[in-house]
Amino acid sequence: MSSEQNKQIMERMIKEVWNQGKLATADELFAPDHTSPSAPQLPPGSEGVKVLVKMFREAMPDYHMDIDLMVADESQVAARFTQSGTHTGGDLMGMKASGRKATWTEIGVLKIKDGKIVESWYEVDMLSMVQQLNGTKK
Amino acid sequence: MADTFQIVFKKGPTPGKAIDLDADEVTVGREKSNALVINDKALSRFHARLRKTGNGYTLEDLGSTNGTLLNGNLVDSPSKLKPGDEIGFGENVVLEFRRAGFDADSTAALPSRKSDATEVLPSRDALQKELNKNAAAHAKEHRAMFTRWFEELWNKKNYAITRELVDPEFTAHGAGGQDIKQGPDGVAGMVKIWHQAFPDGRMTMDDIVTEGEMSVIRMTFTGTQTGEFYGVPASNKKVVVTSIGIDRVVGGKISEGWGELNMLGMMQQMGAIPSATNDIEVSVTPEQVAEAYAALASGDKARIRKYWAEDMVWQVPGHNELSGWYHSRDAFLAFMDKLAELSDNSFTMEPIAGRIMVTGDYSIDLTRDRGHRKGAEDKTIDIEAAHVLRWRDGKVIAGKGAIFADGATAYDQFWSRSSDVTHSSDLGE
Repeated sequence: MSSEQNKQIMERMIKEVWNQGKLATADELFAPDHTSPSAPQLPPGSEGVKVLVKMFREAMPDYHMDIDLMVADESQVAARFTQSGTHTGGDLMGMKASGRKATWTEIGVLKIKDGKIVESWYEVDMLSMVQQLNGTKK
Repeated sequence: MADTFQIVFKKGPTPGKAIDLDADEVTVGREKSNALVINDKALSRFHARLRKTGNGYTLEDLGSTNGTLLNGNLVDSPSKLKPGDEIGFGENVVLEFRRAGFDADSTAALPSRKSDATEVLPSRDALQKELNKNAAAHAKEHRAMFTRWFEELWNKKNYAITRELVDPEFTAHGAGGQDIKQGPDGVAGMVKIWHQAFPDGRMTMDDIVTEGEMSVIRMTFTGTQTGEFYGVPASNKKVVVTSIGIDRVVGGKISEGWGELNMLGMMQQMGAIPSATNDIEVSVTPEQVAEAYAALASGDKARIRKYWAEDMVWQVPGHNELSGWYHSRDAFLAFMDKLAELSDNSFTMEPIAGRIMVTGDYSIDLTRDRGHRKGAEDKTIDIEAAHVLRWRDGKVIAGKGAIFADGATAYDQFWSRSSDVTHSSDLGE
């Protein structure tokens, strides 16, 4: 895969799966044996990302993720994201809906083989997100 | 033939100047390594980027200080450009994105493409081809540089290397909420905070992805927190922290960096924030439970009163004459005396799980219970049991025992008046 093709996979994941909630796209993008060492508790394949997308989108109906920059080679693509959402829906990481809005950043790396995501790593500024949602940080 | 595009300065240092876009990527900023250098104080060193996507161009802001405007609106995600769109950098620079050559209305007012006023950028395509040819070698250089960087700075505490490898105007974005100051001293200062908190800390580079001047690095830090870390007092806990960084390398120096690490997970590892699985409030410690049993074994009434509530209840399992509920501490102690009497003080409950478990208001302990009946040393018992105690204000208010499988039968027979005890191993004989 060229680096451009790998970037397109990242763009589709963010736009369609995360921002539009099209879970079927995840089935196209993820290999059945995909795993994420960053979240080993999640089920393999596309089911893992679906769990997260459902959790965030149900907790934050206005959830949105932007790609700030992307870097790719022939086998991996990385991106830095800024995401935001207002916690008005379901529970999120043990927190009840507070009506507060949070904006936080993340960097993710996807390993791509034969056009499918086979492994992924994420580092998320969860501390900032939690502090904004529980009101300890503006 | 594919459409070609250009950008024209409507406002700025060179009004009317048109620039043909023929590279896959055109970066804009004050820094000289950008494809389009604009010297205006409102611009960041790396401000924005135009990237060829499909048959057009997409505009994105590179985390600039003052932002990038598209038709007056802040660009917060990569945006596809349409002919006629206006791109603004601060108040003094406005560019128009146009189709090159074919738009009669606009070209009339424009200098022709080949005129002196038009500058053709050095083709990034040619550069890209060169880069691809050397991509492997280039990536290898970055890998070698960052391997040295981590070893020297993070593992050997050679802070001077920041002067060699960090641009004086280095800026950091993100980094898990850490406030990293500009330039080599800012980076060294951040790493020193980690070294003071984790003197035995080690950083390993797990992987690196390089594209052009950008490198993405996954890394893992391990260390024991023997010093204060961002307000968390020394915990002596060992932490394992993964992080991902994106660094821009210009002229052999790191000029800009983005970083993320799971600071929340790290705080949980240090015990500063309860983790989701650990946040059930526990009202008793394993030590208190051990003390309660020790008090019981001592027979010392004052010690027993300290841990066992006067109105406690206790349930003995099975269907023998001792089975059932005991209401009050006195009744429970009378039951314990009865056990001692019937077993001639041979009945013992030895902890086997290595530790007592506590959660919420409950404690759970596992024991191996052994003994023989008074006057019948061949009538023995050897079973495993669990005791669940419920606690209130540091005292046991309720307790019950559980015995598993054939142990329940053995327990009933042992306390019965029958002369022997059946074990499952006997049944086949």
